[in-house]
Amino acid sequence: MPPPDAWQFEAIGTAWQIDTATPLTTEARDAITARIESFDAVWSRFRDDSLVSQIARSAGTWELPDEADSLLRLYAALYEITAGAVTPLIGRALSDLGYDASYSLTERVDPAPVPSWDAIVWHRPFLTNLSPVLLDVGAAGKGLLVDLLGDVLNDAGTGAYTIDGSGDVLHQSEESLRIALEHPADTSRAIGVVELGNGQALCASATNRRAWGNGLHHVLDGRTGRPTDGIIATWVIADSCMVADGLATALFLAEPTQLMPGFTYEFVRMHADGRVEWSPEFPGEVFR
Amino acid sequence: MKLPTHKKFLSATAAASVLLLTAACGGSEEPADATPTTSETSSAAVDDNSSAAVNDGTYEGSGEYANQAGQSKVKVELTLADGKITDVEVTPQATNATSKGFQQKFASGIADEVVGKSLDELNVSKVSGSSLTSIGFNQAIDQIKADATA
Repeated sequence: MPPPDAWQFEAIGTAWQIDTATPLTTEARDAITARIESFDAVWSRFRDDSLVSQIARSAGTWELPDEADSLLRLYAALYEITAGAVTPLIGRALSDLGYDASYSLTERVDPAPVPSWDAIVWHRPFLTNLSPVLLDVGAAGKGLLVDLLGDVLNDAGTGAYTIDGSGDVLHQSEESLRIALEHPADTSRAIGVVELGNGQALCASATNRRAWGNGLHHVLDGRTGRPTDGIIATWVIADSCMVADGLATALFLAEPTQLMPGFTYEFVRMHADGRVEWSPEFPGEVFR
Repeated sequence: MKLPTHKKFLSATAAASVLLLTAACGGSEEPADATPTTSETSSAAVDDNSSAAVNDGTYEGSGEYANQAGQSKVKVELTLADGKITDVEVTPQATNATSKGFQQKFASGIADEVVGKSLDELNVSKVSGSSLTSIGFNQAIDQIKADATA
């Protein structure tokens, strides 16, 4: 059943859609737009005036907004579990590989090494860096923004809704949402379907599309500063879109079992050789 | 629209207070202990069932065993008094204890070379995958392709 009202827009360089039972009020839309803008003004490494860009230019102590705490805690947990493979400190390396503010997609001859976690100190609400460091919260930032937009809609008394930030989906409705899992090598096909329940988030990540040049793509291993291989697509379901987003990246770099003690989640992931794994309670079907 | 205010308090002279911050918040920002403690195997002391003297005390060792779920790991702590075992504590190692049950159920959740079904055959509301990526990125890719074929 198509959603009664779908609001489509572009923000933070990607396509968004918010489905609601009744059209969102102007006030609600403005609140959404403002929340995205304030998020982007802090976290975007693609704009020169963002806080992240300032931190990349100089050492200092910076006051971060409330959302930073859950984000940095998630990163700290994933950093520890994956022994540094998942890290927000890959910004410079990612940029040097060509995924930079101008999308040069041209790899520098000598890409920067990835700094270790102690390049930053987080003491809520202050982040301190002793030397310039380019943060990249691409692994979980968009998921966090979806959660924050969910808060905005809840505050506006929106009722049922689905937020879709280009692959990061948060669903708030008694009626479950049926979503196809796109085959990473053939976008006309699906490797399975998922039934997303009330309050659940689904995040997908794949390395084949946002890829350029010589095996380069946007998921880097913080231990090597190089793109990952082995896993080509992941899907994660969790109660938080930020967590689902972060785990979708982590599953490129860690075994699902490593992430089990710290997180409650379901997943599907596809290996480069076409094999597909999924968690036993995964709420859907994989077409084997 | 109100943007959050950011204050730059100090610059590179912050070394001293940074160290203090590290010490103060080291515990709280870390996730639950995910690092299995390493321990030396002390099986020699336990296996000895007769002659040689065994010192009293607490011995710690770890063992791995294979089951249908794969490798599992346990930590064993023995307390000896008068050469006899007075207490044994067996602790499954956190990560492996979780993985054990999980992997068991998990065995069925692996399929070779999934080809999938055509989207046309499916009744779905959305598609989740990589086709919707960054607009700027896609434009850059298009530009490169255009340049390459120009």
